[in-house]
Amino acid sequence: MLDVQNLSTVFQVHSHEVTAVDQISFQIPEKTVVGLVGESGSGKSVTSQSILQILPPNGQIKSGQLHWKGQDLMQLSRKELQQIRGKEIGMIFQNPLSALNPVFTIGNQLIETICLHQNTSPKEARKIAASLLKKVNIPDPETRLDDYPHQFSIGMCQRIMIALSIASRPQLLIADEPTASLDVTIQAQILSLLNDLKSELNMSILLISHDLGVIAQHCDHILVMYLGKIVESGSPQDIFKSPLHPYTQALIKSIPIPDPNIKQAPELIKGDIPSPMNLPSGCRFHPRCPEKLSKCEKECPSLNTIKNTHKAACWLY
Amino acid sequence: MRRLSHFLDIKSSLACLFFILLALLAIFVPMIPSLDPNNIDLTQTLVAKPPSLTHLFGTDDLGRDLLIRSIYGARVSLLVGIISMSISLSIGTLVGLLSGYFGGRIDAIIMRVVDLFMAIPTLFLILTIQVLLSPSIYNVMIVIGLTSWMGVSRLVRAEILSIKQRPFISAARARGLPELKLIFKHMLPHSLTPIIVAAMLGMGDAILVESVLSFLGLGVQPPHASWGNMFENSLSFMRDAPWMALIPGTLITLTVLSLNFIGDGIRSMLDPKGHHA
Repeated sequence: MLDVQNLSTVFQVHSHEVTAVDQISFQIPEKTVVGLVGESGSGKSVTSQSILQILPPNGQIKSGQLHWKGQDLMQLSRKELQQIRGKEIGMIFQNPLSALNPVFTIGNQLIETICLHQNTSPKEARKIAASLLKKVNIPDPETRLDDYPHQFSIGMCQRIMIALSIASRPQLLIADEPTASLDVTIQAQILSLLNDLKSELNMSILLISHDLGVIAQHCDHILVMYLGKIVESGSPQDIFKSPLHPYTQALIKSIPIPDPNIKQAPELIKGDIPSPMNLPSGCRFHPRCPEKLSKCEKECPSLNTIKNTHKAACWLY
Repeated sequence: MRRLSHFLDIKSSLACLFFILLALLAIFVPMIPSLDPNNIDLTQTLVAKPPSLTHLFGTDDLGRDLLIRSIYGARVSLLVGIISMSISLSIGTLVGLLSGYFGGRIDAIIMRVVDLFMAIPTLFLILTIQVLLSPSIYNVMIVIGLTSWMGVSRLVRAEILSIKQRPFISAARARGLPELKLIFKHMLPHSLTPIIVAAMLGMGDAILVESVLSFLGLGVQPPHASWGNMFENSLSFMRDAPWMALIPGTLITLTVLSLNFIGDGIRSMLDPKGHHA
């Protein structure tokens, strides 16, 4: 349904060109949850912003193609793009409190969004808004429509954000770290809500997270990103049972085991993420890689199919 | 109604009351023909008389009632304030919005134009125009409006620049909101607070400028009353008839002050978190 080919997104930072996303390709088929994992700064959010073309002013898609149901998203006019944003592709954000406009009631924002994409009278829109709130489990939806975002808890705000993004029944929902700012019990609520909505509305989800647990539980397909490149992709089975790329292996080893009887400390990846302003040559992971070959410093491996759905970008395979 | 209660602290309510009273008097008193500002009380001429029961604010050196003259003066002052503020606010907001939203080269060009306008000394420009054309209160309003929008546009621009970066704007864009709606519905209300405060201050400034002009004899021409020319008229009688200076002076001060308080009140009313200023 969504086909991303060789997408590169660059930022202008003090006359430097910083490549945040470099030549990535992936597909999101219908009714699937695709997970995108990686450390902070690996380009996950930039990827999602590139899809909807809502990059900050200094960001720009340099090359690549974005195909949405056969349409080239980058060739669309501003108006056509507005028709797709929100209506066919919805998006929820990391910090729900700041993603809602603080000066309007949530009813106002919901009704605005509903009227934008559907032909309804404001009165009907209000009814739809209330039913959306009910769908995301906000108690007493009729009266709460008149409340401002600051009158809700952060978990509720995220549910309102979800209500806003599913208002026009999009076929794809981009969830950019939807649980990053929530505590664990609320995380579970939000994720199960997303899961329910996914089957109810028959939509696909691009779930962006740095939480491997969340990804493992909810995704049909996983993409691992490191410094703007997809280094490995595969089913949860592939990624978690037989990770191929040393980075993925290290990521999985770094998950702490929540058992006081096991005294083994999680293994950390040595070194820091290099600055995207000054990327390493060849494979971007080589300065930190435990299994570095001499080739790794010179040439960048491409993402090759290793087995069925399992792909990795590494010279070891 | 809930929001109104944030507005009604004592300061801004009193200011509002004063302002409304002034406005009502300025609108309705001139409809009564018997209250002529140029009517001379022949029993009181030649020497200005202090406030008394027949003349609550006293009379001036020609025996004209100062209360009625003050009310006619309020008419001029409020009109100048409101009209020039409306002109400067419309231009300033629009320019600021464009500059802040589009940024880059457009912003740079617009801001240089603003700098250019800021370099024009308003008062001298108005003086020149008043001397070249015949002194007219409408020229004053337009010129004040056309030369005082730069502050507003800078405020709006700065506000938009910061709002533009906030996540709820990307979120609204991600929901497919068209740009005009984004600018006017989601960005403008956030910059409303500084705009309103600037509007109130600007209105006060305009009233002051008009007083200065009338004081210099280039604003409202006698025998028409304005606070500025009443004040000018009082200068030669300052020692014998201090009320002649005190009355227009106090009115100017109170009006400008109450405009500032109203600005404060509106600010706390518009704040959704309801902080009292």
